[in-house]
Amino acid sequence: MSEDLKIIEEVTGSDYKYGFVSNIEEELAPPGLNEEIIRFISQKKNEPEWLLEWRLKAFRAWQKMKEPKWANIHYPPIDFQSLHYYAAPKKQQRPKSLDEIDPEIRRTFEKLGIPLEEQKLLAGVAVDAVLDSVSVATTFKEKLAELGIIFCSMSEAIQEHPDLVRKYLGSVVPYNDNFYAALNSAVFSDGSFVYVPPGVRCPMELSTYFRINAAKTGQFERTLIIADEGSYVSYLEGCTAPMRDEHQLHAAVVELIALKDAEIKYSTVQNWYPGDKEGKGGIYNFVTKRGICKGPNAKISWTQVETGSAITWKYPSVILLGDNSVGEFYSIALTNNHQQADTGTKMIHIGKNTRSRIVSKSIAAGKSNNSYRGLVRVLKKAENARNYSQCDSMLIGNRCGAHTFPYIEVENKTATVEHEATVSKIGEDMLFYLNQRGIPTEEAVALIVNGFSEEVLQHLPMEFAIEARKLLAISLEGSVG
Amino acid sequence: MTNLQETKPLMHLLSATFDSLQGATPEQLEHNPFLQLRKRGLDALARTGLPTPKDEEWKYLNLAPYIRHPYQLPTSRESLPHLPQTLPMATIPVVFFNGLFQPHLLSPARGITVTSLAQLVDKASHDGTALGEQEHSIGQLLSPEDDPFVALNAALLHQGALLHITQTPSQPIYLASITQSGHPLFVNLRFAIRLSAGTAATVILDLRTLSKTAPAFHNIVSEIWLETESALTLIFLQNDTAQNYGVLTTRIAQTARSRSRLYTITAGNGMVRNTTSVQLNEPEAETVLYGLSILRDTEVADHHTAVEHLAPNCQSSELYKSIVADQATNIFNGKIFVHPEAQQTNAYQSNHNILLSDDARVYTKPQLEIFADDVRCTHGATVGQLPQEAVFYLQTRGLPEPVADVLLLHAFAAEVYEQLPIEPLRVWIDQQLSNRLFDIVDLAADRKLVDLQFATS
Repeated sequence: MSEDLKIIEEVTGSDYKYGFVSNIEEELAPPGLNEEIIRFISQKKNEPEWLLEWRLKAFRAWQKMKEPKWANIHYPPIDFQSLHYYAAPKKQQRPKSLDEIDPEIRRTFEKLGIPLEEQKLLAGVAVDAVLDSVSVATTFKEKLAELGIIFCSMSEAIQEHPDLVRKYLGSVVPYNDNFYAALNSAVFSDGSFVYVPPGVRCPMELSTYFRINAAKTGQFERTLIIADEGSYVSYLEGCTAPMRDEHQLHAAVVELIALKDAEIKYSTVQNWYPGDKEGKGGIYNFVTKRGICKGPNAKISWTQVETGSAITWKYPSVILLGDNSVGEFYSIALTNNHQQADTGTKMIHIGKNTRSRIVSKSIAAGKSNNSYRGLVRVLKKAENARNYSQCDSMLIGNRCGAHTFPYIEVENKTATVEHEATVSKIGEDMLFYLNQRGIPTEEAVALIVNGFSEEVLQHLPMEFAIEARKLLAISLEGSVG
Repeated sequence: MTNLQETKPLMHLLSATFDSLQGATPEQLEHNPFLQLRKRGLDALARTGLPTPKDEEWKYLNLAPYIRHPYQLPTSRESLPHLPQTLPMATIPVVFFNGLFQPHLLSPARGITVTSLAQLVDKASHDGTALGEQEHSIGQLLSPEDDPFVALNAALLHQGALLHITQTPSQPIYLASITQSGHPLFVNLRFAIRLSAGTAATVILDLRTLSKTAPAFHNIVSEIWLETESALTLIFLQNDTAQNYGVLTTRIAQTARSRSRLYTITAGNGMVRNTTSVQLNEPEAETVLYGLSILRDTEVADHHTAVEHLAPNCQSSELYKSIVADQATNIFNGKIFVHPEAQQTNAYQSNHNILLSDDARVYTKPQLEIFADDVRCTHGATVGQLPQEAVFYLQTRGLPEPVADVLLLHAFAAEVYEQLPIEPLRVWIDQQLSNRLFDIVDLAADRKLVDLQFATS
């Protein structure tokens, strides 16, 4: 056992492999937050008047809100006035080809392993790479444009498709939804915008790599995805971040809208800097993600692999408004050292014959705490709603914690709601068996963790599944309970 | 009453406490643990006030309609001439009538010492210091700072009983609060129960009201210690009438190899909140919690349980079920904590709910908090309706649909209490609950036509 623990410490204590800083000149807004800063951001981005008003409304709402304290996470208070709310790479002209991109940025991407140069060769991945709040490169746009699919940065969408943005922005996550969503609404810098027209099946996986770069810059992404009637889109989001001492706040908002017969698949691999072995540094990932199945037969599916961040605090949710609509949530949350995660989902059944499925796998190692918090709510008019939830936790070592907080609220008698949860460890017998077959302990653990997570991994798109498997192995290789 | 607003519900009840503290000298306050508890209760209440649905632990339960009545603390000295024949067997009755202890109903029983808390409190306020060990234990498991209703209970501390079981008694102990009053009555009771090593006892905690006109609100706090290898069966009966409200806070502390088995039967009281926690403090302790709610009309049952595994090799298992009809609401929150030192823990929990009406509500939250890795913990929760295939099957066998429903509901419910060790009590509970199911499915009139053997034998 002690031998095993040593291996865990050796391996789980490994340094963050993506820690580096790229030196690009940045344009920073002065630290602090007030109406002036918001006007500054809005003006910088050349935004229409209504959007500025909306931001200001959000800011005023935010000022009246209190920081939420209910989550099972602990962190020193955030001084919102010491953060920078705007940072943009200095060169403002949009590059027309890859060659025009700052070589420094390209080296950054190369280190991250983002295949920017090879993208065009790569099968079906269009990358809208976001570096510190302003989109630097967008590709495959023309091909998508042929089908009428809009895939661009939020700033561009505000300029070029203001009607769509105005119609849907804040329609799923209102500007005053919660503390961090209000903050985001007030100061959001950029993000991705996707619109898939009726009946179109998006032929490739859309993907954005988020990356936090400037020190002391909270990153406030805003993503809006609209799948019009009968359309389909799969969206990938993945992130890595450089090593820093100071905590960095990330408060993004993601809104998904699936109209009649539409389907949105949203996958995330999150591997931000988790802090060092003593829990110093690391990203605060406080994100509001929500989708709405607006029309009948719509479907939204969230898949997430959360291995990074000092604190992960998010609940990708689905509002099942349309009859026969479907919501899914597949999650792997892995915490190590001093990481904390409080994540889960909300499934709000409003329409008739709505179905939801939740599969959550959490793995806690080191001194970390991992919580699943979920809500399944069946409203009075949701006839024949169906939910199945499964939350499995795995503990590695006895200094970590696994927590489950599932809320089930049922107000209709025809509902069928099932929830089950288990907590287990990597059994010595399993390890012994694998050892005895000649598989070293480290690999055996990776194998077992992969097996434990398989049910979720198989819902990831191919490219992501491979990356996620590697991530799990890197984050945990050799852990034994 | 500096910080307590008397205009808030129930707060007017505290004026006597406030006066007693005002009149106490610093020496009295220093030597009298009961006065100290009252003061702590008042202070805690002044800080927090009574809970609202905004408090996480009181989410879903709106107390407002139940606490708004102009309650009075018991004033009548009237005693209950004889014990109403509620239960079908002989018991050792420890009875409170309109909030006052009724020692005349209790005949001396071997192996059990019953002490009136009121007597101790009054004695302490006269001569102060001469208190035994067990008296000091009041407030040890549940402190006023834990919970607003424990604080209220401490602030109003007076009536109650201390039970010390030194030898296994031959009959169950019937711990009952009975009320009969023309005006809304607030009954505040405190119990301390200690089972000596190797003893076994059954305690039935019952709430009854004989008057149908005015509501009775019970606030009962019980602290229970199980010494090595002792065994307790604790049965909460909450199948009285709609005017009977109760908040019951219970904590059991278990030592090595002790066993506890709890049954909570909620089927009739207008509002019940049970906050039940079990601490498994030493190795190989074991607890089993059973709960059943069969609710109709606007009844509300709120079960909060917490099992704390603090030592290795302990076991806990929990089964809570509910059948909810009309506009009734069932709330379940089950917590399991496994502390880092509690390796080799086995903890199970399951919660199943059936909704019978579109206005019925079920809120459930099975919660696990695990800090040890060598454990086996599972929980499951379901909410649904009767399986239509099963109903159809019974119909093909000639049972009318309502009868099929009752048969299936009964089978669903009986799992909770079929292990109950005292047979006459089990049969009685079964009859009470079966009648209720027939009423709910509206079969009362045809009852005689239905030839079903419900008695579990």
